[in-house]
Amino acid sequence: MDLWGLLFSARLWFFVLMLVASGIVLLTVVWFERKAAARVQMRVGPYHVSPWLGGYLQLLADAFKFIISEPIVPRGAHKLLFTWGPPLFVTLAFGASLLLPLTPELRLIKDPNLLPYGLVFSLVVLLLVSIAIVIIGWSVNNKFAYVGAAREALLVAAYELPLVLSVLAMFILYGTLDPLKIVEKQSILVGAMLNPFAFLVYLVATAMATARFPFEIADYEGDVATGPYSDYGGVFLVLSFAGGTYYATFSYSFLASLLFLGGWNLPGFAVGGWPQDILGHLVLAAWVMFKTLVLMFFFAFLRAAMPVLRLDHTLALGWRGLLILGVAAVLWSTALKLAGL
Amino acid sequence: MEEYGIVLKEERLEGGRRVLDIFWGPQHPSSGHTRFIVEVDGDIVVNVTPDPGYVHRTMEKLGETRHWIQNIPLFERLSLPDAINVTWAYAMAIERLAGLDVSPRAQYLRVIMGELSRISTHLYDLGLHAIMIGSSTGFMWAYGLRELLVQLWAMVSGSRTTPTWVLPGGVRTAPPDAFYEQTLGFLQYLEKKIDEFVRVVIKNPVGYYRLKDVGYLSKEDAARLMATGPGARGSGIDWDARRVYRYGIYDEFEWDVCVEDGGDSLARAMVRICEIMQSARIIRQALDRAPRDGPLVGESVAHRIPPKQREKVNELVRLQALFTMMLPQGEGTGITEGGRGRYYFHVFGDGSEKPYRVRISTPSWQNLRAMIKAFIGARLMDLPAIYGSFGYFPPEQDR
Repeated sequence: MDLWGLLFSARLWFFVLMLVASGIVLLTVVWFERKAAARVQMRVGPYHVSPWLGGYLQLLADAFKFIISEPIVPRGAHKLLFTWGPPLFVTLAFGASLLLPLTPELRLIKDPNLLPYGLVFSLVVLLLVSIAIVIIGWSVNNKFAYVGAAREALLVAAYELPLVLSVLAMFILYGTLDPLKIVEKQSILVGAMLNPFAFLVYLVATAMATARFPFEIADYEGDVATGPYSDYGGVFLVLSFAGGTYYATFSYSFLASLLFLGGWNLPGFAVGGWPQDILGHLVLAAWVMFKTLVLMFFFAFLRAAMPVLRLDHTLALGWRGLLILGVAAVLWSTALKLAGL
Repeated sequence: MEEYGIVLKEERLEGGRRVLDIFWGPQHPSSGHTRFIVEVDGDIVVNVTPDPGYVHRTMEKLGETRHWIQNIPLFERLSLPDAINVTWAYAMAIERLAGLDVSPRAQYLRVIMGELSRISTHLYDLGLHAIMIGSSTGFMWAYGLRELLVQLWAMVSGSRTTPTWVLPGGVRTAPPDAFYEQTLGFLQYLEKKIDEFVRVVIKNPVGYYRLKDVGYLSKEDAARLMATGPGARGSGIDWDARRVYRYGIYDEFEWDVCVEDGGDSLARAMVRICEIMQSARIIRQALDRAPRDGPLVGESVAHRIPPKQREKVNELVRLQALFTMMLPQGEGTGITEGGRGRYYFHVFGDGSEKPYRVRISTPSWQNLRAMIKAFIGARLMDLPAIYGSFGYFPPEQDR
């Protein structure tokens, strides 16, 4: 086997980069969430673990503490689903982002004709994440987790259709499903400005899907005592509550940065092929990850600003407001397309 | 094969009701130290059975086994955020029982600290209410403000959260001069931050819809179930013990009783906000008029100190004068308006220094039936919002 070819394989670099970049993005976002919320709330936030970095490594310390804790499986819980639920959750959540291209050459899917399928499958996998949450809630054998899982199932019905409608609106606008061409078409105006309705619907639906405030309803601490995650501890909690929900937000944000924020378009920067122009590709990858990071900052900051909306108000919002806006987004895209854009 | 899922079976109760009963128990983030057995039909709460008693500390019985002055720190623990108003009620009962009078300086100081205590309770309740509807920002702001307030308390009484400051006949210590300026500064900052709190938590569209029309308690129900405090005033009942019983010198100040007509959680939260503003108003008037020197206890207590030492009455009052006093045979009642409602103390003396019986009625115990009435018919996610809006405090409920 050609060792150099293997070492410089775009697939390998993509996979390693995604692991590393998503880890850094998650660390930064959780740090930002805690620090920004703390500053808003008249307190200091993470401080003691790495004071010279502003407490940036706090999440590593917390994750380490969770991982070395004893994992307890409650008696009466469904053992198979209980232990395999969180890994399934985080695999689905992270796996969705592996189906998307990071730069024109850095992608896991080798055949460029299959890239459109990757885009659609990424969305499908993200919508399957909610099933993993219901599995987790069911396996715990606890009334609060059961109520939380039921709420998650209801919420899925509310956000799934508007989310698909907003993505559909963007597909209609671009006229193609190929992510490479989609990013090319955003060289003048990014997707968020071309179709702001779709962007708004996508943002709200993502907040609903990944339990960001004001929609942290399935795992609401005040009512169902963190719902499906209530009996999880140790490594399970890191995988599901801290890892899974944030990885799902990461995947949604990555998809949004490709569809709505212009992807790897850097004005005045042309990138060569792979592996001739490794540095160029890395710069583009960092640019895409930066856009993802900024979008995730928005979701993280909502925690400091918003209380939590009630379940029936959220369902009404999803079925009324978001659905109407989603249909408006599709109509807007159709109108723009017919006008010759 | 082990039967899995037995905990998830819905109960088929008599009357054909089919509900899921959830133990909203002491081990729950927003139930406090008490348990409610909530029967839910889908998302609507059908019935709530309270299961109080988890924090029962036998305070009424303990009150019979100790010297009556040792009961002051005991009864303060009924509701620590509201320490002054609770012990004021007990002190008023002892004063009526033993015929003690209160010095003018102590009256003013009691009003200042009592209103600060009311602000402390409202901040505590608003903070818990905010975290129960999900806003951790409101929680931190309310407790951050309360941090400044307890530092003021530490300045006056030497302790942040347990001042143990009201004595029958007067008060225990006098505030230093710095207290007066710092309280004014605190009130200014408080009013600014409370405006921000209202905008971020209550007038926030998400928070507003969480509180509007939630836990409706009509005026007739509130009166019939004898709700008290913001639970009653939020339903339109214009009753405030400071106005009705005219204790202390509340008549000398210009203030309004805050009443809202909504009957829902939003009205109760707005009653609390309005009361904070009114308390600030009373404190400002009292700070202007409070005498800066003078005896801290009334004549009948100061009389018990030997004449040669009576100039130093403010230092000696702590133990000498009161520890040797016996309670006469008789009874005395004290009623004050705390932040959460009306505190009622009924003390029976029998000639010794230990009370014969102390009967306490606290606002949270009083509000239990009204709160249950507000729970029924609401959705499951409304329970924290209603619980926080009544300012429910289980240690006070269970005594």
